[in-house]
Formats: sequence, structure tokens, C-alpha cells
Amino acid sequence: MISLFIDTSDSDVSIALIRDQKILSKIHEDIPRKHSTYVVKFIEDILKENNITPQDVTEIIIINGPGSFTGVRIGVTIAKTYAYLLNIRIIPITSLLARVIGHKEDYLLSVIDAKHDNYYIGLYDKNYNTIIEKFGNSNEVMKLKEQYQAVVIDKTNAYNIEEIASYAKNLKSINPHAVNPVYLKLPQAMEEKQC
Amino acid sequence: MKKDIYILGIETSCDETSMSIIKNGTWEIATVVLSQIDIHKNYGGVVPEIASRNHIENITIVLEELLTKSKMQIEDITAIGVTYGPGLIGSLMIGVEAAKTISLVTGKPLIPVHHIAGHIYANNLEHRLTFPLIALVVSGGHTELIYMKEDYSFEKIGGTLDDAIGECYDKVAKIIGLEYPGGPKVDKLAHLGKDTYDLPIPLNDKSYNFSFSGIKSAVINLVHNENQRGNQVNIENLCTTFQNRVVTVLVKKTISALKEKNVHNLIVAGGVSANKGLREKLTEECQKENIEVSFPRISYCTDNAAMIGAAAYYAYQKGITSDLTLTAVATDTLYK
Repeated sequence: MISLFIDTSDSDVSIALIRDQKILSKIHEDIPRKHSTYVVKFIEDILKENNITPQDVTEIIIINGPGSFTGVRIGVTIAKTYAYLLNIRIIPITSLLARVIGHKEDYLLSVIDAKHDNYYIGLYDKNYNTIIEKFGNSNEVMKLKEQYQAVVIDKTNAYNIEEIASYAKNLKSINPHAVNPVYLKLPQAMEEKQC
Repeated sequence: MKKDIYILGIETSCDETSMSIIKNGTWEIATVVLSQIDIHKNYGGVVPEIASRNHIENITIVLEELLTKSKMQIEDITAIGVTYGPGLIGSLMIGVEAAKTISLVTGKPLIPVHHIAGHIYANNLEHRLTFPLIALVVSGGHTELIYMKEDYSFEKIGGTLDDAIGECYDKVAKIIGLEYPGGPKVDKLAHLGKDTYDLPIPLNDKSYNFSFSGIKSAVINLVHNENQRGNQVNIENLCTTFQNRVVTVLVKKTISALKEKNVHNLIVAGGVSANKGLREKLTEECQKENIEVSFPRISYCTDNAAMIGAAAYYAYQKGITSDLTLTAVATDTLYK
């Protein structure tokens, strides 16, 4: 089983090939605002370097946000198109959840800075069940941390891609049509309409 | 015997998610167009962030529908043609990323197609283009006169200096209270009224350029002044007057470009080529001047992937392909 791991939710992009939960090869590059130029190319490169054809891939693991709207959309479009064409497994995992996988504490509070005192917040139990995923401020982060005595996981904690692949193995594949970005935020025009 | 070439066309430059399969540049096998217009009309125009979100939700669904409708498999495709620009960057991107992924997975060539080239080649689906020709491209984003001496060769001879003609129609429609997209409604009302208002012919000079922001302001002022005076604006008459002025300048400059270049083929392209007033007047004037004029059928006037598949065929004949670093651009032009 060969998995293609794609994370384009931030300015640094990770593409990895995983065989039986072990990383075969990995590309990790900081390419701010250049995702649309390089991500498909990186996938082509990593496959070629490892003598793997695009058809050899049997599973896509896609980090589907939250994060950079543009970045997430690029990764998700590639992932769902790829999986649809080959009719292979596709497992979307949020960037918040991906970061806590491998950690063992009872409650894990994943926090991504979204600027101006805003945060993407994810709270998970030790089995990585989602308790909360939302957009909020630093007060809400502090409150959740106290309420659950949770360990805070932020960007300084890199993804453990092998752990993520093991975790993904036990998840049910999603219909590629239904794999979409997780924004946790409405478009501005819709927010204004609701007010 | 020459092998048949099947192009998968992909178009997502604005608010339509569309894919099509075109055989040999002229024959439409199947097309799917998923329009978001009902979503965007709640906001009085296309909201780029919402458009992008909808494209990504629809992209593989549209592909599946196309393959079902065409009774073809992705392996049957010869190459993939995709609109890379100009348009809304967040929308274009979804089509380009999908196209690159299809190219990667299938190993088929990737052909970048300019959106305006697509609109022009919508006419090729009616009947084969005859060269040399002049194309009048009129849409919500474009107003251009283009000279083509042969397939996939584009020389711009004039264009708008500010608003596009379709944009101007939609804005005028908004001023007089018509729901988005109001342009076609203005055209309808223009056929019911009389030319009674005092509006200028916009940029009525010897150049091949256009300007539509002035006449838009003139309509705003006119409506405002009439309201101030407590006069009811006659919407039908205002539409007739407005349409007469803009059609006059479009037709006049198009005909003089044809005469100067000694070209006898005119094609009209883009969303506003569905405009009845423009069709009538151009047909009439072209008849007088012995010029062949071609309009795309109404379903090919607005954004669709059939036209992209048609254009891509001729780009492919010219050897235009791209590697997987193809990137969507908002404002690229055809004429480099």
C-alpha cells in the first residue's frame, strides 16, 4: 500500500510517499504564494524519484485545512481529483487534528494562529475524537485549556507523518466528491449578510 | 487516416464550473456547465471567495457527469485544455489544479488556453472559422477587437480603456433596479422603448478603443436628476437610448476596422454576443458591407468549456503545451 500525503495548508508544503506506514520520501519546502505553481510538480517529482507511477498510489491523505484558504484549496483539488480518477482511498484530516496525532495526553488542544487575536482551535480526546473544531480568540483558547486541563499543541509541533498514516489506515475512505476544505470561517460576504 | 483528437476542456474562470469533450476542434461530444448564478445573485454580483468554494465542491462531480454523458473514459482523451486566465484567480486555480492532476495521473498533455481565445473559438463549433477575420469580443470582462490572420494567432487592434461592455450593462441595470445579472434584461427592455433621452455616444472617435464608464456615469446622473425633480424615469426609453448609444459605437468601430484591414469575416464572441440589439445592428451593417458575420449559439455565448476544448485543439496543433507548473493568472493577455 502506497500513500501520498499532501499538506498545503500553510506556506510550507509537505508532500510525502508512505509505504506500509513508513516514509519512503518527503518534500518539505517553504513556498509562500507559490503553491499553485509547484505542488503538482512536487508530486510528479517525488513519484519519479522513487520509481513509482501515479497509478501505484493506493491512498491519498490530505490535510484539508483550516489554514491558508488558497493553499488548502490547491491541495484538496489535487487530492480529490487524483482519488476520483483512480478510484482509490482518500482520507481528509484537518490541520488541527494532524498536529496532535502521536501525542498521548487525555485532552489535546490544537491551536493555529489566524492573526489579530484569532485562532483555529481544535480540542481532541486521547483517541483523537473531535470535541470542538472552531474559529475563536485567545480567551476561548485559555478557557478550553483550563476546562479540560488540555495540553496545547501549536505550530512548533511538527506533524508526525508516519503516525498520521497509521491513524488514517483505520479510517473509512470518503467519497472524493465529498472531500472539501475545512475553512471554519464563512466568506466575508456571507458573514455580513447574516448580521 | 488522421487519428481523431479528443480534448477535455475545463473552464472555471468565473462562476461556471464547466467541462467538455470536443473532437477535432469542431465537434462537441458532451458538455456540462454548472452555473452558480443563483448563489451569487443574492449578493448582486459574483463574490470571488464564494465562487472558489463552489468550484472546489463541484469539480469532480462535473467531471463524473461529463464522462457519464459522453460515455467516454478519461483514458480516451488525447489532451487536456484548461483556461489559465484571465479571470478570478481563486476560481481559475481550481480548474488549473484539476487539469494538472488529470495530466499527471493520465500522462496526457496539458494545453493552456486563454479565456478570450475560447470565446472566439465558440464560433468554430458553429462552422469552421474563415481567415483572415476580425473578432469582436464583448463580455462582462472584455471588450476587444482582435485580428486573426490564421488559427490561434491574435493581434489586438483595440479594446476598452475602462469598464467592459457587459459590466457596464450590469451596472446600468443595477442603477435602474434590475436584479443581477441585469444586462440581458436591459436588452429586453430596450426593444420596448423609444430613444428619447440625451446620452452621449461613448468615445466616438477614430480609434478602435472603447470607453463605457462615462455613459454609465451619465445614466447615474440622469436617473439622479430626474428623481430630484420628482420625474419618473421611463425605464424602457432609458434602456433603448443607452443600448442605441453603445451598440452604435461598437458597430461603427467594428465595421471601420474590417474596412481598414480589408477583412470580410467578422465573428462576435463573449456573453454580450447574445445581445439582440447588437446582433440585429451588426447583421444589418455587415449585409450592407458584404461582410460575413458569425455569432455563437446562445448556449456558447456565456462561459463554457466547449469553447475551451475547441480552442485547445488549435493551440495543440501549434504545439502549445505546458508542464505541470502551469499557473493561473488573473490578467494575462493574448498578445505576447
